[in-house]
Amino acid sequence: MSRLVLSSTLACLCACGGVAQKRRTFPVEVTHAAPAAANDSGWAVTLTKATAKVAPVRFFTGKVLLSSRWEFDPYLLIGGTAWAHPGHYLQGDALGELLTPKDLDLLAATPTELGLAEAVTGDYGSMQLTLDTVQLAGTATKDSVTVKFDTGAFTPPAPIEGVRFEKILEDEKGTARLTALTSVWLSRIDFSTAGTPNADGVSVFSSDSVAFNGFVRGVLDTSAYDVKWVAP
Amino acid sequence: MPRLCRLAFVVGFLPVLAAAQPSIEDAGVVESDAGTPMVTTVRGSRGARSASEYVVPQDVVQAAPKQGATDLLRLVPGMVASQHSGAGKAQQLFLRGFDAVHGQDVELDVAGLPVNQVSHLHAVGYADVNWLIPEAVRELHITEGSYRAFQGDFAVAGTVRFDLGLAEQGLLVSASLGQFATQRLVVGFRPGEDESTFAALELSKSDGFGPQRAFGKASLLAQATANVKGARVRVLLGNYVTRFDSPGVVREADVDAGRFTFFQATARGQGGSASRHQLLVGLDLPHDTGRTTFEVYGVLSDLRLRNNFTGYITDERGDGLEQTHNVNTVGARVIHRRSFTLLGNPLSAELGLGAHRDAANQIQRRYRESDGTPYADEVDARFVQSAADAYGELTYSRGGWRFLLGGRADLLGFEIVDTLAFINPRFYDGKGYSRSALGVHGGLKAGIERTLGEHVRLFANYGDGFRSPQARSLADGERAPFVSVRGGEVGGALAFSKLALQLSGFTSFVDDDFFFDHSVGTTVFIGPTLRVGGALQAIARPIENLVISASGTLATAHQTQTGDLLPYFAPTVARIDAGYKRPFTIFGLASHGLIGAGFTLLGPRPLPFEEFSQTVALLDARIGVRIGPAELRFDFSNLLDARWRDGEFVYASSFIPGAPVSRLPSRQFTAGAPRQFSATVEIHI
Repeated sequence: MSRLVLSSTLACLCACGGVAQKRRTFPVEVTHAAPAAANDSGWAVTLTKATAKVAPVRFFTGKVLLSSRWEFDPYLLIGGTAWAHPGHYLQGDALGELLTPKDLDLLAATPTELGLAEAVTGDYGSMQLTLDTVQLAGTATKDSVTVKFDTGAFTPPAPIEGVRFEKILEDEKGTARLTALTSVWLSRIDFSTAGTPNADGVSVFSSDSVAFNGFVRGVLDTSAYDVKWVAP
Repeated sequence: MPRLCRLAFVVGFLPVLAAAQPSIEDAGVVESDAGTPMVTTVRGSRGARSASEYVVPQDVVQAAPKQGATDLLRLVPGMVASQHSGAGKAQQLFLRGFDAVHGQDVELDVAGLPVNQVSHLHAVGYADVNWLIPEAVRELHITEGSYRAFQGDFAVAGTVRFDLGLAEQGLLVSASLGQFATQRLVVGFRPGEDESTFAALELSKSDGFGPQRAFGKASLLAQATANVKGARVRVLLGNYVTRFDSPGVVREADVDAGRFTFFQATARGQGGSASRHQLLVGLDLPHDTGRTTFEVYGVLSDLRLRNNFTGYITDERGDGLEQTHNVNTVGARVIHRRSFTLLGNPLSAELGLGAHRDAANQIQRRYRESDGTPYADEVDARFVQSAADAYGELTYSRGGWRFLLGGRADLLGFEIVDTLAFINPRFYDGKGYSRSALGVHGGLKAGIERTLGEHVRLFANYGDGFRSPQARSLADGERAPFVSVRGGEVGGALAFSKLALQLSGFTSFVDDDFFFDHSVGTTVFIGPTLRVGGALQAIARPIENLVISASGTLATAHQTQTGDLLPYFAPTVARIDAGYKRPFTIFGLASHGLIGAGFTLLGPRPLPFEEFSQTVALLDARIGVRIGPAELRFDFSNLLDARWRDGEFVYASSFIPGAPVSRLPSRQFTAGAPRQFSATVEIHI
């Protein structure tokens, strides 16, 4: 028991940024950003379906080091500072969470509210996103070739860790808005590898296809998610 | 008032009054009304030299129902004792703004046997006094703060010493039956006038007031004192074993959602066992100007704990944590007391030398909930911790003034073999990792006392105290870090024939407070902390056979750099004990009726996230009648059946396997006992 007491005590005493911690809630909503004009392979994609089942979503103190703002390092002038390797994301302490799963239509005209996160005030650094399923469908066009595609449902094997969300959150009103950047999801897909169309003319990605692999890597890319605090 | 009764009052108040107290267990001869010389042994610890040195006499100890050690600890003014993990685990203690966890900031001593265990796996200073038999506790001597030189390791918030003895001469057989299949048998005897020579055995078992709260225990305490050629010899023996279940904690949100009940056991297989075997041999040699006391002692202590306080948050197999800590302690102390005259005024000196060696093995493993099988080793270590101390204290009296000056030095040596220090195969050589460390702590004690008339004494005190570190947290060659506390206090004591009152204001500053997280074996410093507060204790005997003891403590605790309130400490604590005996004669037998009550009030405690725990108010009561040698007594604990939380904590947990794991800190509690009733038949022959 003492471990728990001590851990809790330390969590309170050592709160990052010296922000006195209080409990609070805030809404979390999800939307998407339309695909880019063309992906890395030159395919222009129009989505007709973008669904996801999301839960849980958690917020942590840990900062995402790779996405830190660049600062001038005077040692660059004499050869630079040695870095072992980038990364080393540590999630730190949990500051907020939303555990109830929800099916989302990402193409909805307005952001969809995911729910109300139970949270505490503090210095937020990152978000962890659990996607139960993700599925896209639409058409991809390149050089007058059009592919009707369906990615099939993909369930990431683990939560997506280290989505950047840096904010000192106190009592202010607002909403955490998660934007799924579908252009990143789609960026690695070469739709020429989408496979043979079915009777409806739709190429459903098989799980061992190159196209599906590109989709998976896009979904798992933390840069596919943008989290911002939106004031009312 | 008969002279004998007046004498009883005076004797009863002497330790509290402490104006001219004897050193320890002085004997004097007085005459009774009949003119027959009678020996009265006046027992006090050292004379009180601050406003927060208290004595809880035996009639106060016995006034209200005492189920065990938790009820005894509640007699300490300002102390909160929480038994959150079963009947055999050490209480979590709170005193003077300190969350002492399981003993890290309160030094406990039973008749010279040290209780706190150094570098304990579960908590530094782990102090288990569940082996105490309430009937065999004669007095509590409490020295709050760190103002006296005799106070050693863990005396950060204070020192509590239990003195042992049976109240009545002859044979005692006490049998109790209570709710929840509670059975308790105490057999004891006191062969002579000296109440400190006795033997007592307690056997008890219960199904407990809810699931997974059963326990059984056996405790033997025997002490003999004898005068041999002018020397006083004392031998104390203790044996104890217990096996207990624990329900763990309940997540507040699970109760609110109707998933769990208030008294739910959240994980199976929690609980543990403990044993303790101990021996103390003492020799007290009086001489012309004082006395010298030699004591040697040994303690063999084993503990096995199984708890799962977080459910399934760290591993889907369950977060069960099994800890075993086995320690052998041997030690010795010599205390030399002497009186001088300096410039025509009395000067008394106390010099103490001591040493002890603690050799321990500790193992910590994770076990899975499904069948209790361990699946991960976390700690496998053994260590020897050796300590030596020397202290001196001078007290000089002149007119109505008394000056105290003392000092204390403690040296600690650590030898550790930490088999799992490195779990990375690149470093692990299969032979463990041994290291050693050494550290010294020195402290100053000072006090000024002013006597005003017959009834009033004023005090001002300063003292340095310390807490030793967890051995496993030390690096090779590290200068062992101590948590040092500097404390100051002003106060006063008033003593009248029917009322004794002590009032104090205190402050304690900890330079570099730290916690040791035993689960990961790291020490985390949290910076300077400050406690400020005040305490009041009063004992009144307004009429014959009625005793009322009341105490209250207010405290606050802050981290000085941020100003943040420290969580968990107890800002408001109050306790009242009252007992009344009405003598009468029936069938020619000296008899009496008795009634007693104990009331505990614990105000809201600060928790993380600017939350507060709930107020706790508990009333215990007893009523009984004794006719000649036979006594029938009914005891009620939590008479008003308050639904209360014994422990409240804030951390992340998830007790529903497969459910989404909440990692956000949330409220957890351990349920306090509901109203319980027991009937006791006692025979005194």
